[in-house]
Amino acid sequence: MRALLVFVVLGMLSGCATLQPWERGVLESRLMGDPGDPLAAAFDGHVDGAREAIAGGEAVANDACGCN
Amino acid sequence: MLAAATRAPTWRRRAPRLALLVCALVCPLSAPAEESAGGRVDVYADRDVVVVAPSARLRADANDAVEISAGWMANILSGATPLLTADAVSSATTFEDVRHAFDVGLAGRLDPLTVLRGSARFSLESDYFVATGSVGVERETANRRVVLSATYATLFDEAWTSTHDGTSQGSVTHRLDGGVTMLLSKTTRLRVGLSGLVHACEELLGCQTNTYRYVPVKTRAGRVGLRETHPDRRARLAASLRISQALGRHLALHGGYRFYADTWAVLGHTGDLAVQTGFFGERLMVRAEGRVTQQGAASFFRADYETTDDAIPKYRTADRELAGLWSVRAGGRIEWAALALGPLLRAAWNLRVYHTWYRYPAVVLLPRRNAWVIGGGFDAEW
Repeated sequence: MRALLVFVVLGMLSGCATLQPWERGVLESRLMGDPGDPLAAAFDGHVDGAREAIAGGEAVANDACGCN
Repeated sequence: MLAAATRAPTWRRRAPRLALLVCALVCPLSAPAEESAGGRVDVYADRDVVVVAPSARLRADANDAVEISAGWMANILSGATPLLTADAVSSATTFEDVRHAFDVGLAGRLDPLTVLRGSARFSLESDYFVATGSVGVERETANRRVVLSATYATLFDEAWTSTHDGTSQGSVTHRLDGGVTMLLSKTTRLRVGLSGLVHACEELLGCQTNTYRYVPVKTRAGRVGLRETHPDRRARLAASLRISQALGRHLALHGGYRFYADTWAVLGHTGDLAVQTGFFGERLMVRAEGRVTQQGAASFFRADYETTDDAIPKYRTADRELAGLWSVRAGGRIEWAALALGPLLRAAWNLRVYHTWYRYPAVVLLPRRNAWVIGGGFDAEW
């Protein structure tokens, strides 16, 4: 956990350097984007929430009882 | 030397023009449109259950600063729940059910760097209702290389039996999420997330108890089936790290790790890795991905309850969700996009399929579950 904290702080400090808008083309591309659309992500969250007790850390998606 | 000295300023002048040319080629593909809509159908199937899930969403800009969104999803369930009795998997209980979930969202830009978000979600099926409200804020900082986000959500839910035999269970969940997204370089993005949840449930059955589920208990008087009961409080914590790395202009790696712990002594680790590649100016996107999960059992989980002094455990479950388990998932996704198609700026079709192997080493009678998810959808921007 401490290593994670150090990693985050170092990452934020590195953010002080400038990244110009025209240098962000790759970062803003679909290649670097989310894996799917939000509808698919919501369905996957529901499936995982009903199958695994450890699901639920990414979004409030497990909005069913998981009875089945 | 003289030639080198005169060449350098020329490249310095050309570099920004080349960068703008690259951006002109790439940015129009990735810039969000003012309005977008999508729809898809996913199907989940394992040996016991089939779920067909049609869904749709709409997003529109009300003005330059406000965005609205709405969504709907239905889960059409059919199948049979295997009934775990004292010493066998009995004839299954068949069921059919339909769940509808609706959500609306509102996002407003307070200033060029700050966005406020709010949403409401309702979900209803024949034996379950849940309402969720959330508010959140996002703030760009450090020359727009770092995005800080925080979201608070409250969830009210109520479960009862479809036979209306008087059994019901309600709970309130408070949830807080924090995240930091950092652009570490021109090709690397890192996200760190932290989530905390507290469930406060009615004492009758306890948090997230299945109103249908009974636990086989062997007593001196013989085998009896007793209702599943859980503690009425549960605090949960999850921390995640996700990194995306572009390898050239046509290939990117996405990897993540997530740690989970809660007050029921459930511990979990999840790792995932995906390879994504794009062709024809990102009109064709292909993604292959895998995921591995390991979960420890809840402190009060027993695959087989036995008591010789008639002291029935206060909390008891034989639920596989609360058992020790591991799972492996593998699959892929393909998307084809067309630009400037009639009135649409972009139209995209996608297909995906993945398979998940679940294994429950402690549950001898039902030690495995194998599931497929197959889905396809359409997205449009205009």
